[in-house]
Amino acid sequence: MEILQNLFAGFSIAFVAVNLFYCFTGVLIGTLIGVLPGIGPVATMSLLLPVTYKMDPIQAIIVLAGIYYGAMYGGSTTSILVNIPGEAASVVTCLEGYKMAQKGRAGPALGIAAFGSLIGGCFSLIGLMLLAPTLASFALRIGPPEFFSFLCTGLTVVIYLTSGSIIRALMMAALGIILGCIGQDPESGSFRFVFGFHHLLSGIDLVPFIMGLFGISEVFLNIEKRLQKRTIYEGDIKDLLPNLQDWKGSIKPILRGSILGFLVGILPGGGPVISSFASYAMEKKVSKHPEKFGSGAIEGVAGPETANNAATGGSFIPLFTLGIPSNVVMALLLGALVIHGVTPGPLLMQQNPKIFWSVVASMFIGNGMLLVLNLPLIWIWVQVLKVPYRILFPLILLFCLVGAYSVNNSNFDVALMLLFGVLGYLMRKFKYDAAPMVLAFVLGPMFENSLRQSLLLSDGSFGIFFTRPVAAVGMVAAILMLLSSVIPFIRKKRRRILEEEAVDGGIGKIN
Amino acid sequence: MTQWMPSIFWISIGTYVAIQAYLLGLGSFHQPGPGFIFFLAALILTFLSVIDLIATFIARSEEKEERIWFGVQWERVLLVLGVLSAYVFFWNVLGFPISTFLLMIFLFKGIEPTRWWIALVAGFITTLTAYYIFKVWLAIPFPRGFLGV
Amino acid sequence: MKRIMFILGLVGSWVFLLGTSNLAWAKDPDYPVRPIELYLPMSAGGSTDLASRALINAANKHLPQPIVPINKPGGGGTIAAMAVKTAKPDGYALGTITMSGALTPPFSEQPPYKDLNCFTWIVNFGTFVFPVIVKNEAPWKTWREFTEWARKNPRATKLGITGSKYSDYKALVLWQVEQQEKAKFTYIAFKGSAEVLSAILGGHINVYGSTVDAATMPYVQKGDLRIIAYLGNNKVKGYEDIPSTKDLYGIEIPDLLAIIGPQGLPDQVVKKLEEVFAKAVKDREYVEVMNRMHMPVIYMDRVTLKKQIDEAFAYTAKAYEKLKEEEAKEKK
Repeated sequence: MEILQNLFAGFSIAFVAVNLFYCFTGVLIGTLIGVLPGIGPVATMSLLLPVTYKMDPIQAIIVLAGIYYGAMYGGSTTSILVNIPGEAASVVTCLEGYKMAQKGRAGPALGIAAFGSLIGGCFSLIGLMLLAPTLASFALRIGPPEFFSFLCTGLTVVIYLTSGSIIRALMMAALGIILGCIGQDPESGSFRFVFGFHHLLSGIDLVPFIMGLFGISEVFLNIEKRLQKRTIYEGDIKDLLPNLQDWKGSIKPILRGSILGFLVGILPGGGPVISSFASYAMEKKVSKHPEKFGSGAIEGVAGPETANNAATGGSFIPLFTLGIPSNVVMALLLGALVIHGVTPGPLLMQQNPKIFWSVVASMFIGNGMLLVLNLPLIWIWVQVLKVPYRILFPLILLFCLVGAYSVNNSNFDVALMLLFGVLGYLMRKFKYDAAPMVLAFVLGPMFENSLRQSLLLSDGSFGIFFTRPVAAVGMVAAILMLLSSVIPFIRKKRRRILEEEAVDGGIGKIN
Repeated sequence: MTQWMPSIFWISIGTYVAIQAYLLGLGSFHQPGPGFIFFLAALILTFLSVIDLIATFIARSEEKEERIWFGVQWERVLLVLGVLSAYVFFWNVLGFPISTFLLMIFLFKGIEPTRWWIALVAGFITTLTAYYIFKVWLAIPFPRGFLGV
Repeated sequence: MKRIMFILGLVGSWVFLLGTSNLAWAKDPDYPVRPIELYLPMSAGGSTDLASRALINAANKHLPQPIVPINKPGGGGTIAAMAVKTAKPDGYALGTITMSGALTPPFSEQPPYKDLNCFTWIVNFGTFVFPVIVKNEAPWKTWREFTEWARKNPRATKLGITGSKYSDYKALVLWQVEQQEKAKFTYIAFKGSAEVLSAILGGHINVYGSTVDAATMPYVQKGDLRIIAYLGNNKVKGYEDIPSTKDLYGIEIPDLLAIIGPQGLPDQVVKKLEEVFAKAVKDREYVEVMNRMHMPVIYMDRVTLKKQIDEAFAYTAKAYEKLKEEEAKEKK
């Protein structure tokens, strides 16, 4: 088979000592960056860009790509240990992972995250190899109307992100949309809710937003209590690695997460963030015990962590096959390739197949290296839970402050993070969930954009969403999702009301 | 009693946003204007908050008041928040190393009783490490204070 | 006792650390004595970013202290510009600016700067090419055919751009073209040129009105896409027989990809930078990178640059005045 031949040739290049070294450097830096909250792969990659000028294009891509998917591995670490998302794609991991850590099961959580990331990463690489050209032409057919219908489905997912009141989840989603759309309107150019802060013209940055909502608020909630010798988890930490039961529960989520993540990663603007949310919702929906979610269900770690790594593989497809970057990281890689004289796109596979196959081979190797790197680190990370909180929390705060600053090198972001920290703290006190708000924050602007673009394309007719086949499928899916989650909710409410009436009627009014 | 406060808060935010969105211009259904999505979201927020408020009142008769402000030292939160805000302000004046050092000392010492020298040493090591990792390795351009660092 | 020694030791090493990092204690006449920060208005990977980085690389060969690029994306370039505007005029904070970052904000709703004298204009080091592109299968082979068709079918011309008339200079030019041709286009705004490219390849829009970059040209070379006109006056090498708006209507876009500093930079600093950048634009590696991105290297020293900026500003002001008049008329 030609593919195997090409892959073999790719491996022979990837295994060259120098290239292995670059691969290792990339994934190592990526892991560290992923662990440090706030500082994301983009900032680091642009920092290292000049360093790559001396290398040949294959080596440059190996290093830069390594940073990218390495960061996906490391991102779950702080989410699980201290409830701070390492980057946006790890927000969902906070929901279950941190709860597991609080129950002493940080080790298994970290372990499953690492294994899931490996499987997801490799799966998406296989998909990349086999399906790239087909999927690429499919990806092109996704225009604003199709994208809008996917987003509708995506927004209905919000309902699954809460373990509390659905009304409040929807409220938070509405708020998320409002916050997400703040900035300069791309269409009319008018300033929306900017309040004179020019920094807000491109909107509130995701990183300070989530770090404040999750990380800072968590610290605030903890320091309210008497600290003395408290640690995040009292008691002995027993398991360091997932046990058999964990594995049994995680296999299916990992499989589902791989497929879902890969497909979502191909979509423009999709990528790891959305795929992790989608996977979480999927796991909750198909689970036989959805009540477990919110108190440490391992499926909620396995699925999303796999999905976000699978999405990284998927996001390479538009870049390599069409030369079109689907997110900021890919844009940077495109730039790096251009500087090295390589133009990715339809011509790349024909003129320069060596580059594609050696990079793919190297990514397989990189994923393997990451697993080997991350597993022993689990023991180290778990010790963090034993550090007295009164020593730990200043460090957490410092990390958050620096992380928020580093996104845009701006003090304003830090101030925003603190603001959202207060908001998150109050929200959690009064029992409002943050996860629906985050998803809506990410999806909101895209939702608005694609709606307006679609209506401009159709001259104002809403029919465009139903006459184009792919879009129609998406809209139907969204409606079904909505109905399937609302109907049981209504049924539950009706049952409760009936029950209460029975109780009141039976016992009689007690004064 | 405090359970209805958040609902009132959300209702006011929703109303404010809805009004501002209307002023921005809603456009038409067929060509949404800049305020369209804000208006829609704000309506949903306000509407649901009202429902939530009503639901809270109904539930009030059954459940006991949850004391969320009782037995916790929420003043600490205010203190830390204040200090963090001051920190952001100061690092433009004093630069990263000095402000971080002061911040660390305060956080180590000012919240929970800690011995002076532990706070000093821990603050020092933290600042040093942070400086190296972030400023030197990662080359994050922190604001420089009057000393030029 | 031991504790005190320990603390003193730590403090001592800290002082040593500060000493080894870059402190500008003395007033050293030789500029630069420490790294210079250069704010980039776009996020990493875009053509402005790459061009600036290539320039910086070339310039650093002639400087004792390096220029360090820092991305401050957002607001269509205004965030980086504001960072430059409010920085100390000591020559250690500079920025890159493009035509959209310079000429559109002063006329927007809440202008961050009302005129361009709040900056010191140092050199211009390049410019962009803005082709108008259609799919090969489209019925229009020339600009004439397209405008005729557009006149009859205004709602069917879906033109993809990245921004609005108040944030993107190209949109302003397109509006001027509309006035000249008495035609109306329907604009669809996208977030970046990559999105516009996928939209046209996927057949969702029928005209592409964004920057040319490394991703677009292969499709033109392959024959999938076709250039039917240029906005401004610059053309892609090898495709010069296609008209530009300058040829057709005399409408130009100022060549602007410049290095700026805050107002009041000392003369010796500007002179030194001018010197260095003049050498940098001739650097072989720099020229290669620019060629690959299809960005012409157009150098202007500070006098020429300032003159161009003043002219462009006056011209743009008039154009926006007209635009606002027209929009007011339409509202009635």
